[in-house]
Amino acid sequence: MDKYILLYGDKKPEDNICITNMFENTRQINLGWTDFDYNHNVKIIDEEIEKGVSQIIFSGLEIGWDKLVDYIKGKNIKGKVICNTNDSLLYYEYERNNFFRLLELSKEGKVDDIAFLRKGQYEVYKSLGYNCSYLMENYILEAVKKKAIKQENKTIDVGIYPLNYTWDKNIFNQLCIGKMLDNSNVNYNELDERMTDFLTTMEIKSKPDKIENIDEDEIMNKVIKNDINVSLSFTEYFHPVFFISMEQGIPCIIGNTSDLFSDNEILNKYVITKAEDNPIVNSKLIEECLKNKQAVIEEYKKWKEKYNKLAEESKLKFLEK
Amino acid sequence: MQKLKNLVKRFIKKDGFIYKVIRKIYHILSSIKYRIVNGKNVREQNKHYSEQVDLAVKKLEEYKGKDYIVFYNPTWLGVANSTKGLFKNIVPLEQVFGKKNINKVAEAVVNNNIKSVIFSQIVDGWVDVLKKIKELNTEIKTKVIWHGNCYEFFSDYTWNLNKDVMNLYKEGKIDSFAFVRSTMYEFYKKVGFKSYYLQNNVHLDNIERVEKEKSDKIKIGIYNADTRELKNIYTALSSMKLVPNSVADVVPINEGAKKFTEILGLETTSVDDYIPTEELLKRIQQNEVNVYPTFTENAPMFPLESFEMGVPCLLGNNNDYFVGTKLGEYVILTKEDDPEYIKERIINCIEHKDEIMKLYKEWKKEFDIKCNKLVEKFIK
Repeated sequence: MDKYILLYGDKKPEDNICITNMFENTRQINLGWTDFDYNHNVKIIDEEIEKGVSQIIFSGLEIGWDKLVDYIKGKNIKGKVICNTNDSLLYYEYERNNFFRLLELSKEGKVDDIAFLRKGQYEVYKSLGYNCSYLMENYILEAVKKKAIKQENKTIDVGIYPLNYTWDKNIFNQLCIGKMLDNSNVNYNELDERMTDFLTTMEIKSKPDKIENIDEDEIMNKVIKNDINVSLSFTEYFHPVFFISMEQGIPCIIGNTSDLFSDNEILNKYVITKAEDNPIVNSKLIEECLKNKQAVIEEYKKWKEKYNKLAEESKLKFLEK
Repeated sequence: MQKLKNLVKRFIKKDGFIYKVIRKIYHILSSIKYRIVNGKNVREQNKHYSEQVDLAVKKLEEYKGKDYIVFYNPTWLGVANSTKGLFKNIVPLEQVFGKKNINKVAEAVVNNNIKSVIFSQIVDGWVDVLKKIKELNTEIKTKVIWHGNCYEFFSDYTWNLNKDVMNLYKEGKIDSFAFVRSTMYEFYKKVGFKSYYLQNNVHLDNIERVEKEKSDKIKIGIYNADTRELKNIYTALSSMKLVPNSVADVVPINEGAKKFTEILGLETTSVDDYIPTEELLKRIQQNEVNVYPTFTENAPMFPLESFEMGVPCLLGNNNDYFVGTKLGEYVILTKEDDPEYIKERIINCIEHKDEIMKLYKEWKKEFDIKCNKLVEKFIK
């Protein structure tokens, strides 16, 4: 396998939690098209090439990075891109333009491989003749640092920690769960005053629990306080909150927005909702998940052991290409 | 003026008296400027709205003594079709501006001895009409059909409007609400509001049935999906590409989606403009199947319209249609952002098309009865 470095930007810090966990050799670079950004990034690339790196992987093709792809091609270094958007998000001009540019670069032979994290998306671009791979998303917590610190009370603490105040995070339908789930309290990442206004107006028992910096440690400390966490985006590429919660032994329900658990009946039944915008369905799912909490966490551990191996294999396959 | 405002803002606190006075003056001056610059358009618009009010007043006379009437905005097509599909005594009414027009509508309701007034969603000026009706006669029941779901509270306009109507309910100026999705009905009931459950319905006997042209291609339609992210048009197009021998009929199609179909090499018969509903309903009869894989909805009209035209429609798991039925197993999508999954469901739907249409017809008979019962309960 060629020595590699994975370069990532700061536009999607939530994705970076998983991507920096999945790859050992990573460095952050700038976003932007100015000479300053370009020169800064080229300097980093040159340093890595000097260290013997012969393949450079970009986490997404962000603004200005197409020039870097050109640069490394001139140096005879392999350039690969891990796609960080799915088709649903192409509605946005920024995502669309960058994705279309990525496909152009691939057609021109300047990008050697594109990794997709969703099987369905991979199948589409494979069928169109693009050089692409299926990379399984992952996040591994080496050791659980803390034990659950949930205070003894009879209330069900539900953690809702969307990391962006955007439409796809389905925020208000998630907060509605607090009304439909009896005897519950919602701990939530207050991304906008509207969230608090909504919870107060609808008289939903809740407590703001703001995430100041989107990083692993902070999310770990938040999710571990709850009985269950909820991450019900309409569409999602990486699932950092879900993994961080489950790895610490706190169940987390997610939308049907991943390739995870397609082969596991128990986790599919208790962890994945089939109706992200339906607070009644989701509050029932939470009840069921909590009733079977022990079984869910045990099954997750078993499943994860196998999954880690498969994810590692998919990563090695991508790196060796 | 903007520069002056910015300068003053630097020195005066936002919640201070002077700031508020300056803001008010700035607002008045801006309004005057707008009226001067756009005077002709404003006059024409006001004339149009006043004419609409006069037409509504005439229509109200036709419903003299009736138990209920329903106001709906004819320019909001989804809400208009929903209202037409459910109620008999309907009154088209657009925005109502100015005291004179507000009074005219409210007085017409009172003078025609109408017992109960239903507002199908709230349009600008309708809150004032509602208040005026209650002011003139507290015995008249006022009800609001809220067509949105909580997802929409992301929008300032919708959230503020929701708070306004909630306050009006608390003040006793709105007697009850109706919601077109069970989750919304249950949620607001739990919040403490007198709520009713309705279901949108369609009756399209008046639409011409056209013979399907013979073709070797599989034509798949997606419509009115270009304006909002939650319509999920790009995933739908990817899924169509995976269906062998497919042609996508996309109306309207925007530049981004058009470029995407080119990248995918997906054959299309798309139109870059909206086409009238009646024409669209004739057009879709040429399709094998339609897709509507939206992320969130309440009670979308299009899937029902499609079925009524003899074309099955795959739809997201975000409304109450077909839930828990065999038909639902065929047509409800539970993984809306996965093109391969949607492709499989499209193929499965085409393979079982006859059975699906048979199941739909059976379902629709019961659905019509259910819808009528829900309406009866609400207008009582």
